[in-house]
Amino acid sequence: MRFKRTILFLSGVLASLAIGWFAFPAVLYRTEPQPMQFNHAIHTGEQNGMTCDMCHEFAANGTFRGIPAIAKCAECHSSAIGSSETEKLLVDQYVTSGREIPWKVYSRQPDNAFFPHAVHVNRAELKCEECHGPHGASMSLPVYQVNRISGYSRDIWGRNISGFSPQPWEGLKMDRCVRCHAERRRDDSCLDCHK
Amino acid sequence: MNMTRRDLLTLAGGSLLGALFTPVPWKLLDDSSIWTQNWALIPGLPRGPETCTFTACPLCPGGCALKARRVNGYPVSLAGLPDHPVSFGSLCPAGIAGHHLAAHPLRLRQPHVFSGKGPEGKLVPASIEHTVSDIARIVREIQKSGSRGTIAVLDHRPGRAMSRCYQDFLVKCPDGVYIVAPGSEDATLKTLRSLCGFGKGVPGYDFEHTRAILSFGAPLIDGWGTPGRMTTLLQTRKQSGMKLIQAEGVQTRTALQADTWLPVRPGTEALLALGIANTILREGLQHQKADRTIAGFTAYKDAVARFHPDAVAEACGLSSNAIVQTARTIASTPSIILSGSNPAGGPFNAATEVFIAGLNVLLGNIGREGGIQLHRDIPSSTESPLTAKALADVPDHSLRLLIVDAAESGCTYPATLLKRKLMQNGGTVVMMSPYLSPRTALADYVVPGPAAYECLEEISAPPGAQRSTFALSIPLMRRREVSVDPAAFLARISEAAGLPQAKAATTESCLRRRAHDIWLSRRGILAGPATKASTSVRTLSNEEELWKGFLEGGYWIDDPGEAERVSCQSLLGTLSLEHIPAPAASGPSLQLVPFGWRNATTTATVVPVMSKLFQESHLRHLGGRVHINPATLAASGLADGMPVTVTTTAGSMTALAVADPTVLPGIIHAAVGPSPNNTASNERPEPEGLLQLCTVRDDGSWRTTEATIAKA
Amino acid sequence: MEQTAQSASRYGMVIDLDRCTGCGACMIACAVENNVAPAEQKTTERTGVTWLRVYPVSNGEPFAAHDMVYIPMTCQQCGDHTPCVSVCPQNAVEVDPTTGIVAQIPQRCLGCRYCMTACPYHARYFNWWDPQWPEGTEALLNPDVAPRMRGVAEKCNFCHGRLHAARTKAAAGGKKDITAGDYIPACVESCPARAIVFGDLADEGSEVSRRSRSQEAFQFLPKLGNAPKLSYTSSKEWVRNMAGRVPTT
Repeated sequence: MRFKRTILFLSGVLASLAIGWFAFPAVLYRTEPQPMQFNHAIHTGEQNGMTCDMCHEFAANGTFRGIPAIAKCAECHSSAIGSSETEKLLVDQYVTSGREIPWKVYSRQPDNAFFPHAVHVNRAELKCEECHGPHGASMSLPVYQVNRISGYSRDIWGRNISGFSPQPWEGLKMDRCVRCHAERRRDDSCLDCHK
Repeated sequence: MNMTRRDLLTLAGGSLLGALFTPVPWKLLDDSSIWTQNWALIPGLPRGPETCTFTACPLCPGGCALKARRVNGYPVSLAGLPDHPVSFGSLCPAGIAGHHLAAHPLRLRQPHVFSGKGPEGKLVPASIEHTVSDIARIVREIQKSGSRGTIAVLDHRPGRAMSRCYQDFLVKCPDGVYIVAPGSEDATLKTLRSLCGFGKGVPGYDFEHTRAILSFGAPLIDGWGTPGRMTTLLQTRKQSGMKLIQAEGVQTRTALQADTWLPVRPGTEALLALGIANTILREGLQHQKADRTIAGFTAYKDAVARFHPDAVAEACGLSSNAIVQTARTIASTPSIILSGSNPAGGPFNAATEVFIAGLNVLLGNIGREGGIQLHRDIPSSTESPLTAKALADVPDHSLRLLIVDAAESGCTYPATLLKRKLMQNGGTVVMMSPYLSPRTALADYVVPGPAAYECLEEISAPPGAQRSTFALSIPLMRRREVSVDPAAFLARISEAAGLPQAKAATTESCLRRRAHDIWLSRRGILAGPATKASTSVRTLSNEEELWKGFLEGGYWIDDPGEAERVSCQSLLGTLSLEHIPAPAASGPSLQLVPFGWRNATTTATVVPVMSKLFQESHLRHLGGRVHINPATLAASGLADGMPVTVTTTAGSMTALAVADPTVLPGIIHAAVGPSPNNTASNERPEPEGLLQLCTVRDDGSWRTTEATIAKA
Repeated sequence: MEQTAQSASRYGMVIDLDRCTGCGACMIACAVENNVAPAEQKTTERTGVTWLRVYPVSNGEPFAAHDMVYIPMTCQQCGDHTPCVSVCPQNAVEVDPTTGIVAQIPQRCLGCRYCMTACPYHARYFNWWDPQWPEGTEALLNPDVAPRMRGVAEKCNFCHGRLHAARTKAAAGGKKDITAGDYIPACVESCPARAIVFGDLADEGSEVSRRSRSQEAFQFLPKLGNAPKLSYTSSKEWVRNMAGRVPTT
C-alpha cells in the first residue's frame, strides 16, 4: 500500500489528539453532586434584591466567610417560605438540626495560598463578578467536577482542558493572580500570596 | 493489511508525537506534583470561623491567664495577657503549647489495670465499672476489718475546691487520711507557719515592695513563680533598687541574673543560714523588738555564737566576707529570705528549712511591707473537715488504698517516698493521670481524667501569692477520649461501697460551691478578662452573674484585708538546739543532687513540641545525664560524653557524663527529665531515672545523696 | 488603579541579651505558630528543625569568673548580598520588596540544601523526614502557615502569617497601612522578659531603630557585609566581642 507508513503515522497522531483532547478530560474529572441545588437568581433578582455581601460576609477581623453558615440561611428559612422540594430539603435536613451543609467548594485553593478578600474587595475595589463571573445571576449551581489526581475542582484550571479560558473569570491558578498584580503595578512578592 | 512490528512502531511513534500536542503529559505532570504536595503524609490545615476565648493555663499552680485563638472551635494558639493583675502576663514554654496535650502520644484512652507492678508490669485496658467495684470492695474490707490499713488521697495541688471534695470523701471512709504531695506547698511559708502564730491568715511574699531577696535555691525566674511576675520584678530592679542574692550550688539561670551568686556547697545551706544569723546577731542587725518578742531568743543567740562566718566559710565553699555582706544587705532593708528547689530537688532537711525561715523572724520581715504578709484565705462556708498531712509524716507501710490526684504540682519526687507508705502486702494505688508517666509504674489502677483544656479546672492563687484569687480554666475542646471526672469517680465509689452520698458529684458542682461561698462573702472584685473591667462582688445582682463572669475568663481577687497581727514568734519552733550541726569540713565523696525543670520532670505533661528545647537544641538538659564540673570529671578519670555508672546506697545506674562548668566541683548534678528517644509506650511506663538513686530521709527530703561514679 | 504598594518597610529586631533568661518560651512559640512538628525519636540537635534556636554560650573562664549568656539565633534577614538568595537554583527565596523579609517559600524548594551551606548563621533547617504530629494534633495547627513536606528547606519568615492577618484587618477597616501593634511575631509576643523588640527599621524614630544604633548594639559576622536586620545588645564586653563568630553548641 502506498504511503502506508505515513497513513499509520498520521492515524497515530490523530488518534492521540482525539484521545488527549476529548477522552482524557472526561476520564480525568469526576463529577460529584452538590448536597442540594441553589438558585442565586431568586435571591439576587428583583423579587428579593439581595447583594453578594448579605450572605458572603466579612468577620470583624477581616477574614472572609465564603460559604455562609447554616445560621445565615436560617435567618430567613427557619421554616419553608416557598414550596420547592429543595427548600424543604434545606429546612428538614439542615436548618432544623443546625447541621452545616457540606457544600463542595469550586474555588478551594491549596493550604499554601493566601488570598485575603478584604484587601481585594476593600482596597483594590474589585467587584465580585470580576473573579467569580455572573455566578450571582445563575439559576442553578454549576456542575462540580474534581480532578482525580490533584483533588482540586475543575474550575481552578478552567473548564477547558487547554487551560485557556474564554471567559476572564474562569481559572484560578497562580498565573492569573500574577498577571493582575503586574497590571496594577503591585510588586511581585512571594510573601504577598503565600503562607 | 498486515501489521508488522514496524507498522506498530510507526503507529506508536505517531501517537507519541500527537500526545505531545495534547494536554495529557503536561497536565499529568502538573497534577501529580500537586498530588504529592497534598498527600496524607502532610496534615491539612483547619478551616473555619475564628474566635477568641479567655481562659487560664491549668498545667501548674501558677495559673497564668491567657487568650486562646480558636479556629473551628479548636485552640490553635495561646498567648499570655501582659497586663493581667494576677498573673502579670507571659506564658512559659509548657504553657504556650499546652493545647497540644490533649493529643499527647502517651495519653491514656481508657481506664487500665496493671498486671504486675514496676517496669515489668503491663497496662491492660479495663472498664470503669470493674475499677469502681474493685476499689469499693477494698473500702468495704477496710470498714469490716476495722482499720487494718488506711485509705488516703494524695493531692498535688491542695487548697482547691476539689481538695475539699477529697476531704469530704475521706471523712466518710474509715480512717481516711488526706496527704499533700512534696513540692505542692511553699517550704519556707510552711515552716514559718510552725514558727509563728498565723491563725487563719495565709502568708504571701510581698516581692513588689521588698528591697532584697535572699533565695536559697529557689529558681525564681525559671519556674518558681509565674514568668510574667518574676521577670518583671527582675527587670525593674534598676529603678526599684531591689537586690537578688541567689545561694545555690549551680550557676542556674536565676543565679546568672542575680546581683550576687553565692555558690554554696549543696548540703551546707544550714551552715550558711547560721553564719548569716551569727553576723546579724553580732552586729546587732536583728529587728529592734527581737529579744522581747521572740521566744527562746537568748538561747538561740548563744547557740549560734559558734557559727562565725570564718568558721563556716570553708565548709560552705564561700568567703567569710561574702557571708557578712549578705547578712548586712538583707538586714538593712525590708527583705525576704526564702528557700526552694528545682522541681526534682525537693525540700531541704527540716533543720535547714527552720534556720532559713528563721532569718525572716530575726529580721522582723513577718507582717511588714516588703516582707512576708498575711492575707485572708479564700472564703468558705464550711471548715476543712480534715487536716493535711505531709507525705513524709504518714507512717510507713500504713496505706491500704491510695488514690492519687491528677493535677500536677509541677514538681516530682522519688517513687521510694511513696512506695514505703504502702502496706507491704496489699497496698493498692489508683492513679488518676490522663497521661502515662513514670509515677504510673506504681499504680494498680489507672483512671484517666480529662486532659488539659478539656474540662473546667480551678485556678487558685499560687503558693506565695499576696491575695487570695480564684478563676476557672475554661475548656477549649470537647473531651475526646474516655475520661473520668474525679469527683464523679469518688461519688461512684462512695455509692458502691455503701458510704453516704457525696455533696458534689462532679468537678463543676465542686467549683460552683466555691463560687457560691465567694458570692456569699461579698468580698473582692471580679476582674474582667484582659482587665477590661473590674466589678466589686458586692455590686453584682446575683450569683449567676458571678459564675458567668468566671466562664468569660474573669478572675476574682480578694479585697486587701486588715493586716493580721502575728503572734508567738519563735526561731526554732519544735527543733531542739541539738539539731544545730557543728561546722564540719566537707567529706571526700561526691554529692548527687537531682535537678529538673517545671512540668518536664516526668513524661506526664511534657508537650511533644518541647523536643525543641530538650532534643533539638542544648538549651535544656535531657534526663539520664549527669552534669559534673570539668575538674571533678578529670579527677575521677572520666571525660565529657562518657557513659558512667552512678552508685549510691539505693543502687546503681548508668548515665551519660556531661562536663558542665556551671556545676560546683564535687557535685553530680543529675538531670531528671524527659528521656531521649522516648521509649515509653502505652504498655509500659518508663522508670524515673536518676531520682531513684536518691536517699529519702525520714523528714521527707532527698536533696543530697553521697554517691560515687566510675566508668561504665 | 491606584498604586497599592505600601512604602517599603524594613522589618528588623533587636534582642537584648541582658534580659534574655534562656527560658526557651520563644522557641516553643515559634514552633507552635509555624506548625513545626515535634522531633522524631531519631532526631538530634543537628537534624532537628528549630527556626529560632537559643544557644547557651559560656565565657570559658574558670569557676569564679564563669559567666553565660543565652543567644536566640534565627534568620538574620540579611539585606545585602543575601547568601541564601544568591545560591538558590529555584528562586525559592527572595528578599521581599515591600517588607524586607527574606521570604522562604518551601513549596518551591527542591531540596538541594545549597542555601543551608551558604547561610553563615546556620539558621536554615531541612525536613529530613515528613513531619509527624501525634494523632489529633491536625485540628490544632495554625491555619495561617502551610505545613511543609519532607525534602524542603525552611526558616524564619518573621511570622508572615501574622503580617497577613494584620493586613487583612487593616483592609477590613479601610486603612492603607497596618497598625504596628497588630503585626508582632510569635517570639516577640511570648518573651516573658520582653527581650526582643520588633519593628520597622525604615522608621527612624521607632524603638527598634533607636536600639539598633545604641552603643551596646552589635551584629553577628559584620565583616560579611550582608546587612543583617537583626541586632543584639549586651552590656557585657565579652558578649559583644563574640560578634566575630556565630554561636554554636
